[in-house]
Amino acid sequence: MSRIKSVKAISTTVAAVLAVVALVVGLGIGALALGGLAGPREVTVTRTVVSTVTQTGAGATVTVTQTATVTAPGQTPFSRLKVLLILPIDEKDNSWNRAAFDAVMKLKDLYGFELSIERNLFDGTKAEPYAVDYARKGYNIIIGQGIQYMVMFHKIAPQFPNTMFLCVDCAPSLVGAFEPGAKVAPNVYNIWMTLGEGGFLMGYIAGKMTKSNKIGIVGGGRVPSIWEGHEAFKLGVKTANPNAEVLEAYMPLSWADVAGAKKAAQSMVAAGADVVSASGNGIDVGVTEAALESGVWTSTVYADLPALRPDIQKLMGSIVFRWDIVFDAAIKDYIRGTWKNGFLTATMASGIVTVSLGKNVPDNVKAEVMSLYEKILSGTLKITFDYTCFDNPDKPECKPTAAIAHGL
Amino acid sequence: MLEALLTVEFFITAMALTVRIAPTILFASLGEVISEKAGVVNLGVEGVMLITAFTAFYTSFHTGNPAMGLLVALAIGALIGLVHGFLTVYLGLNQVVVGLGLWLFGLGIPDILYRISFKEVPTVKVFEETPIPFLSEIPFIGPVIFKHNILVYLALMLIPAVYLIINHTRPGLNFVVCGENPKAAHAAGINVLRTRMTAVLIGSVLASLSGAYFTTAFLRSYITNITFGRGFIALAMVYFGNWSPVRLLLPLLLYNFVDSVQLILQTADIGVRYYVLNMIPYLTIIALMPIFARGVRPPAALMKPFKQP
Amino acid sequence: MSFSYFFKLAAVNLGAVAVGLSLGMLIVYITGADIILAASTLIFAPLSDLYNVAEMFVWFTALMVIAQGIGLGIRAGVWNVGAPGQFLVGSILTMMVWKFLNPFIPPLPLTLLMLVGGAAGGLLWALIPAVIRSKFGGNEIVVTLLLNLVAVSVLWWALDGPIRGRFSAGYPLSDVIPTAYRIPSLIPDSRLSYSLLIALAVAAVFYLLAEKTHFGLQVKSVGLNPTAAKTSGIKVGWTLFKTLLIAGAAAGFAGSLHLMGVLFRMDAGYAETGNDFGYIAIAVAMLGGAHPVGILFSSIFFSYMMIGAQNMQRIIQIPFPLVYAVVGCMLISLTLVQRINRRAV
Repeated sequence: MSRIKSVKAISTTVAAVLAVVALVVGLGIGALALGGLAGPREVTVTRTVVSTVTQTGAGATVTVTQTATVTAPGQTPFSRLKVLLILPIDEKDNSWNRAAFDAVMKLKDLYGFELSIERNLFDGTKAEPYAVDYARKGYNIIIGQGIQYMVMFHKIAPQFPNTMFLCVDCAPSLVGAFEPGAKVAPNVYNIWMTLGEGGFLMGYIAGKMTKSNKIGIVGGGRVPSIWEGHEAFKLGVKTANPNAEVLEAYMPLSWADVAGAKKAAQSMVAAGADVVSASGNGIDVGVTEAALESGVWTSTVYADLPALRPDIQKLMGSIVFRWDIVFDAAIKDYIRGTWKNGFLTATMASGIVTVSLGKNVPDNVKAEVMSLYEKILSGTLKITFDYTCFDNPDKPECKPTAAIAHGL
Repeated sequence: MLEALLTVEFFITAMALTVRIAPTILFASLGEVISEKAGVVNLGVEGVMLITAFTAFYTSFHTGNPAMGLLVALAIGALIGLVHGFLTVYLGLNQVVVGLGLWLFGLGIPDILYRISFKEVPTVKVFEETPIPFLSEIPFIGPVIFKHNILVYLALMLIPAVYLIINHTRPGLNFVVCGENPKAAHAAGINVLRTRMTAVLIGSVLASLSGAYFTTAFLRSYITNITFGRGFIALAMVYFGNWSPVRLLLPLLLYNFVDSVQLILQTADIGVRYYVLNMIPYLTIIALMPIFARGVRPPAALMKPFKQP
Repeated sequence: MSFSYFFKLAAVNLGAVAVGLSLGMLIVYITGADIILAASTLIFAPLSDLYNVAEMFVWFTALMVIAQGIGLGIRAGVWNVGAPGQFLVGSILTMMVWKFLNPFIPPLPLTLLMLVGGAAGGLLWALIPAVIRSKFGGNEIVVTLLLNLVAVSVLWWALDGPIRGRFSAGYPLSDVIPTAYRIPSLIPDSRLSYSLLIALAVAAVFYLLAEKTHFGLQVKSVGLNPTAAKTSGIKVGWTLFKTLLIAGAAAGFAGSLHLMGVLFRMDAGYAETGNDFGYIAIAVAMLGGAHPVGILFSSIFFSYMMIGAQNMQRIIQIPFPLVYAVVGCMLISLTLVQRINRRAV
């Protein structure tokens, strides 16, 4: 094949015919589907009920599976809701996103509301057009799973005063306002979380499990909640094992940096760590992988990894967040009309944060951890932080940790 | 902590990590050397790598065998090479545009396929570390070079292979001539289009090796944008290596080494902020650009299509 | 230029675009989504209400300004593939101008300075490739693409450094630009601002530059036949240099328009925004035949398609990257078609 003859001979008529055909086809499609585009789609809530019946008789066992489709009869205030969940990554991380996803799906099954999920909108600026669009389409509740949506919510909230913007890992004191001097938007519902309590417990286990006295912890962006988790982790290590040293790394700006997290974990292992913990999101994925390959102990946060991945042997455990309890409370507030300026904190005492321990953690360590857990639940053990260390981590008072335990 | 780092052990570990990461770029760079020497550049290397990384992962997951994943990825790479070669060599389309189009295509397709084929992030079997019996015991060099998976060895062996092919074999010299002076090549009886097409095919297949390496050897799972710009770095390495398979080793290893080190340094609490450390690999390349780019001479007919009369 | 020529041109180019769209539809079909719904959303959503129209013009503003720069480059025979990086650096510089000068300079002049800063940032980022191409005759493309990656790193550094926000609390976010320094909103309750008018002015400037000035003539000559141009006395290297710098400035300017008119702050997602605009603008420039007026129309077309795609993606839940694949396919079919039509691109 040596040359394509230049097609000069596209006559005007052919071109005209093509254009007309395209126009007709386009209009045809439009006419056909015009009904489907009128406003937001009406979605019928159907649930598939599967029941398995095993009948034994006359020497034979028959299993009958019946599938029935039930259309939700009648609408409740809950089922009339339209909810959007914005995920920074997606639920495959078995961590932050997974926890939110599971929570929302559980509530959807319970209440039957219309649910949309937008994934991989890691930054507020990326999520902004989506949030606005859904709000315009009449969505009542828009959940932003992450502190990165805080500023964005406050920017667009005034436009949609009746839409609840549920901001997870946000606090009104942090944002001040979208525009300095303006008022905090009342329709942004903030959910704050404490990673400190769980971090302390995981650090304690790490301190007990390490033999090399070097422990690593990898985090994503260095935001206050994560920072608290890390500092408390270091405190836990110190409490369990004063000789152990903690190596710390933050993945700048991206909780989604799986490869980076894995490399960080691997380099910590190379530096002698035999325990590497992760504090969230894609970081968990990378660290878990590295831990599996290098044969070191690990722990994760947000989703129940011991339950999700029973195949992982050297798993210290996970700090589990019951977001469904939180979202449920917020939704109920919304229905009741008491949701403005809402603010919830996810803590252990409120039952939202729990600990799930790995099966191979020695019993004596488990017992010690559980007793510490009891102390936190009862309020005997409190962990506070020296917040000046957030901006000045190199001050001597901030080493080895900025966390302080009361009531040990 | 810093003192603990300045040990020989640390250095060896860093070097070993460097060599382990290298094939993610090395295969593609070698392929591009051949392709560009013949006069065709594939800006869409990143796209090829993305597509083949996913393909290898998918196949590996469903067959349970990373080797199968590798083979299928190579086949797909060859297919892409055929298309790319057809468009750029035979049709003479603008290589920049075709390359970018290929890259954008690779940016979109694997992502969609990934989202619809997997509900969970599975992990797959990978090529395990296979140390070479005696050689891996040698202090220093042993762990650095001889304690890796077989793909690393393949990559290392390809370096002299490509060098020899280009400089000392007939087909290799044909590539070079087609890239320098296609008119003369044609006059000498070489089928320029077919030669270039072959070069493009080889380049694409090697690029797919790089892509497959991500999911069959380096990582055990898949994420969106898993290659993260490595394809472009591979292109840059060819440039900085003056289109020589041996000379490109230096910038390539340097980049990977600095990257490995800065990660380790991040944990060392040396008081330098992490984002600065993260930028260091890129900055190194740019700072050294005057040194590397000096005397760089691309093949004369690079990116110029040839009309075979 | 006869009507039939334009008609043929338009039909053939749109045919190429249709090829890309068909691929997209094919993928939608494979994933089992409702293809009629998808197609109809794609076609009708952008005009379905005022907000969507406004969004369309937000894209139009960014795409067109960048594409004008790229178009000028194509005319001269250079490819500005560094638009994403220039977009980013332009925005960063705009932010820095605001942050460091706002105590000293009143809003109105500062706003103008910020816009200049954006263009300057883009120009700066195009400097290295421009030098490489014009002075050394080297292949600027590889370095340019690398610089795009570096620009992302620079963005990360800047977000935690010079433009770090007071309220960011560790999440990489810049300060929010107060109302006084923003470009005023054009359509209330939407994201569209007067940036649109500024962009149209830019288009006019490019038209004059490309068609009515001596420089434009030089650009055309260099693009058609560099050796002949050199013989006739045109300083080829210098022309290429200026062209690339202008293209860079355009991309950076688009960055500041977007920042000051739409987002008002920067976070790490800005990099993806830059990528979206910067690479798709290449297709825009190509479809527009590297002509300022053609680019105007093709920008409308592409922004229409983008909004359609965004809406479609929300309704049928196909990830947005589908758009990249479609645009990639379009790039290839466009260049194929233009080659067939003997366009010197």
